[in-house]
Amino acid sequence: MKTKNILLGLCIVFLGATFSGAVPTEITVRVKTKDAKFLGNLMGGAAVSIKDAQTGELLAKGLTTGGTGNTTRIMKTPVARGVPISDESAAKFTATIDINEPRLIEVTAYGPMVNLQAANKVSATQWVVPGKHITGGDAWMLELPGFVVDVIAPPAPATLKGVPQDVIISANVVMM
Amino acid sequence: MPGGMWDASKIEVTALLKRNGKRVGVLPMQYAGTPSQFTGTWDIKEAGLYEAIVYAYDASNGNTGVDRATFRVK
Repeated sequence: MKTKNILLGLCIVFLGATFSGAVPTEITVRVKTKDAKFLGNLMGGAAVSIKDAQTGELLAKGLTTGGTGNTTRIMKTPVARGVPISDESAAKFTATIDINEPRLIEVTAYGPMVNLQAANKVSATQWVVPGKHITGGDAWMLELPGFVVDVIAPPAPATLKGVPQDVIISANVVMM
Repeated sequence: MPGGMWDASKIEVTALLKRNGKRVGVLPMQYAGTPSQFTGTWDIKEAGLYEAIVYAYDASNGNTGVDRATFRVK
């Protein structure tokens, strides 16, 4: 009887710890651009925020850093279930949040942070359980649409003299 | 570039042209021979404040981007 009581007590203490103590939980966010690769240092990264979707509480924020990833793996290899397209070279933002119960988490990415005319925002929500890291495979991956279109001629703010005249309009168009 | 990993020939790049805030034309832009660059020539006949809204669009997946530029012609 005494042993049972001790075991019961331990269980209560353990459960109590699980629900009351904040547990560090790691979330890795990757931002893959539509029809292209990972958004990182080359384009100024994406600004990522991690919030509680129900209360709006900001839990972490930062920029994705790193490279665009492995071109062959992302752009040429057929996608297969369970095989990540990211590797260590793929840009990411990793944060550890301290949560003491399952939280509905909203991750938002805004970028690229250079060529801001191309910046878009994407977000998604999912449940995150204390201690259950979101780091496996491609982790929390968002897809960001868009091209970078950059008008390079005429240079702004240009004043052109004389009419009629042929004005050359030129733009640089790149994937993000 | 045309035929490249991101095939320039399947991306539509067009300038929508405005003069003093009103639409005055649409200028399809062509691959300029240098990777990622597209160009077109606009025959301007009147002075005014001009705006070019340039978009890139890939019909195969809906991907789209836009930039704008303004310039004055005296």
